[in-house]
Amino acid sequence: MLAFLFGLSILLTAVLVIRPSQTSKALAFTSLFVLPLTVSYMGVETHIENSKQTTFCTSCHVMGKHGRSLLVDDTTILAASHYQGGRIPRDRACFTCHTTYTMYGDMQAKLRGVKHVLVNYFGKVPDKLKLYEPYHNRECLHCHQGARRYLKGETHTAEPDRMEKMRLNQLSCVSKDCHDTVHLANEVDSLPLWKPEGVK
Amino acid sequence: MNAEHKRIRIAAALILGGLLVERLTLGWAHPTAFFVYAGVGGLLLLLGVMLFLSTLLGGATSHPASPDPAATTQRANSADEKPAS
Repeated sequence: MLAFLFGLSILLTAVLVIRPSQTSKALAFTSLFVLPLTVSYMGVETHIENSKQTTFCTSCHVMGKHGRSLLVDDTTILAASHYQGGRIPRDRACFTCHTTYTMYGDMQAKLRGVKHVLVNYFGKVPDKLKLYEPYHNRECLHCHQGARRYLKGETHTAEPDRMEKMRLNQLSCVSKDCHDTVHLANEVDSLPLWKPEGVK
Repeated sequence: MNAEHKRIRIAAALILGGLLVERLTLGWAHPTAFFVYAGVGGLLLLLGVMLFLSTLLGGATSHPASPDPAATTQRANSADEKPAS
């Protein structure tokens, strides 16, 4: 649909470039105002959808190691186990865990993405990549809250108030001795990778 | 071709360029693609649309105010013929 509208818009605009004097004002208004702005807006939506793909995030050199960490043949690594176990959509792996599940979370993630690209081209990429703020349990509990395995987890129920602390983000899911091996991106080059068939 | 048509042609060319850039970047899933889409394609398109709108609005407002050459000549002639009082 979008490709068709782009084609139509390009065709009508080309007619106006060739013969501007032989076109009615109504057609000119449609060709030079309504259609271009409509298809342009639809194109922005397509780009935003594209930006949710795992391949999009890992297409930048700086994210290469994080991308490869999804395929490390070690399911004790949090990101790898989620990716390989199909707990998150493989084609949207980064976006699923790194979007803040709050109002404007998507928009905030996109604005940060814009900043990342600008830094990549015009700034200095930090040697060690880190999150803007500590990882919030909300992003885990968005899926795990209420899940049987989470509720019955031995360590989750070790203390009576532990679940409540996790719910309130007072005890981080990725704290030491819990799920603290998240990506292991710095060591990914020396680790064996899982090579499944049919996975991008 | 009058000045209005020339401006419409320029506007159409800008929009065409913008649309082509945008169409090309749509199939490229890379962060740079969005920057080219918005920064180059969007800018060309916006310039074209603004030029087109200014042509439309300029044309609409200038016609009533712009003097018709024939009428001006006629008025000048009649003023010349009018006897001084």
